[in-house]
Amino acid sequence: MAESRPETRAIRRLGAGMALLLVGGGLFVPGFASTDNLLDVVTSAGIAGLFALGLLMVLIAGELDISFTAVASIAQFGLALLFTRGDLGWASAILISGGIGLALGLVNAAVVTWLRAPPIITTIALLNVYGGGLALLSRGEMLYDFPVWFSDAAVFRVFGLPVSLQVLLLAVATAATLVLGRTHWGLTLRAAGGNREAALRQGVGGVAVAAFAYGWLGFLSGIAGLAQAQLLQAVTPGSLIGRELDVVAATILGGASLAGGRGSVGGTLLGVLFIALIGNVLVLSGLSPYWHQAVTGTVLIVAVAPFLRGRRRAAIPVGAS
Amino acid sequence: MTDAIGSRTDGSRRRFALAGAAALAVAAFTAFGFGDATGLLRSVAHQVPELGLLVLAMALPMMAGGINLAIVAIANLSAVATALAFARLGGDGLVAPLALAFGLAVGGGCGALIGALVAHARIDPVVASLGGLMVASGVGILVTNGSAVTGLPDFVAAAADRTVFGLPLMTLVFLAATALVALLVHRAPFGRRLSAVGHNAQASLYSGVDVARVHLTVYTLSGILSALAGLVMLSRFNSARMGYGDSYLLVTLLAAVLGGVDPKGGRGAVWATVAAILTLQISASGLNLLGASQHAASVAWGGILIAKLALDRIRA
Repeated sequence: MAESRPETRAIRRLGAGMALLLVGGGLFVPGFASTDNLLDVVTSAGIAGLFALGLLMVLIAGELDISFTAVASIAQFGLALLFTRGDLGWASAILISGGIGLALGLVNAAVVTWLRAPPIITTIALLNVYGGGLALLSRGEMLYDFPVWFSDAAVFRVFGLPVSLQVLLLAVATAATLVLGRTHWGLTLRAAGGNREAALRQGVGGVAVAAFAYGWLGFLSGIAGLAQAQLLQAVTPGSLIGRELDVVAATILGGASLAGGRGSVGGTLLGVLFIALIGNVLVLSGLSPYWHQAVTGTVLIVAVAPFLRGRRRAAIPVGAS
Repeated sequence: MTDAIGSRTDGSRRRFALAGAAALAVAAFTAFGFGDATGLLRSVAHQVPELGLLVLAMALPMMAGGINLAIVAIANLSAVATALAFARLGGDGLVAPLALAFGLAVGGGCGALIGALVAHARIDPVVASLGGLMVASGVGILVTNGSAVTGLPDFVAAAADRTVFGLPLMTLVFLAATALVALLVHRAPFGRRLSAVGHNAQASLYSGVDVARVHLTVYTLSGILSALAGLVMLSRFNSARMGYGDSYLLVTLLAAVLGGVDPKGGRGAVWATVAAILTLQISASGLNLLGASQHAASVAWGGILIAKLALDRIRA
């Protein structure tokens, strides 16, 4: 029997873990199995989900970016500043925050591709430049008091239609699935991430792939910034920064690999939901919330460790890149 | 630009970095006058040992073509372990060395865990050390409930001000650790293997280098050095808490890269990275005296890191 794809295996494992959590939570944890609680879990995973679906493209392309929380903070700060100047509509709010994110994403693509240093190092530097720069410019002040239409109910409006965070996440997931599975771009991305050298010799990849992947992440970061500002009805420069590594962990848990070429939308969503569910179960069962990080880290290590063990013979030692 | 770790041609780099450090030191002296210079030097001398140890902890995995994102978390966890040991056992007689050894062992264990993931499970160092970071900081937060561990024996805080032969004890600890690492990297056969693995792990494997063992050693050492930094911090703050030194990750990366460690692995000069952290710390203290904020330093360090990578790219 042919070996299943690593993405499928990750989804299967996560599915089993989720089922275990759901059944265990439903049986033993009071208040867990209510619709409200489960919807809350999805909402709490919403922002991380947007980031993770953005990061997924970058990982599939064989790149890495951890500056996205700072990008989102800049986008929401820009948006909040414009709110104080004049009234915008939903359409321009989305365009502005998405546009700021996209622009910074393209900057990241340019810097990372040109420097040719490991993207983890380059984007740690960028994270600090963006985050520090924003904190300097904003002097750490909180912006609030948004227009009524923005505060009105927990919904977005796209072309006049109300859209909740969950629906937005689903829409983005659908778009990501379509891009990855049904377009030339998606295939190019996977090819370039899977074997950059081979892809380049086929005339595929290079700067365009990086621009697409980082641009996609940047745009979604902008949208995530907008969504978070809407949820909290306030913008603080540091409120998102520091969560980037959790998003990386969730995406990797979902079956994406830093080696590139691997990862799926379904797995990514499951990874994010799984981490949110663990947190929810821990809180509801009265255990200290301080367990969350230790448990998540352990899950990450356990999930990833056997992953590559199966392909040990073929694997190139890490660090060879 | 082909200096290997084991070769002596690192000298040019080292001199360059040392000259830079000296120049900045002089600049700082003249800028702040002699009255402030002692204050400046004191604040530098206070922070350099812990930062320098963390830079070494970061530089070693980088020389092997990897990275260790968990260094600060490991440092704090080790400090917490030692502090809890003191709290449980008191600080008399034989207990003190035991508590210190416990902290170092916790750090070494965390490092070895990451090393095993990298070496044997073939996990990318970013993911392996991210997992290590989450577990280390998660466990640390769990056992401390996120608060600081205090109530340490008096000699812990006193050690920060202690001098031996006129030099601060912590500076001596740091210099000794640096000398050992420099010996290992530049003079011992291990340095050759480290350089080979960092340059091309696959080729090293095929030429008979025990790549897994090099990785395991490097990350274990990185964990122990982090733990040592944690103990220095324990003494300086007279308490242990997860979350001390959260901003150290960028500056350690920057110092390693400025000191000539190739982010892609294979190259690096130990003493030059020390000179780099000295330079950075002097300029940071200078900036601080000038009233610039932590955020300004963030932007400056990030910008300098990118500029240095760009310079390397142009020269390559």
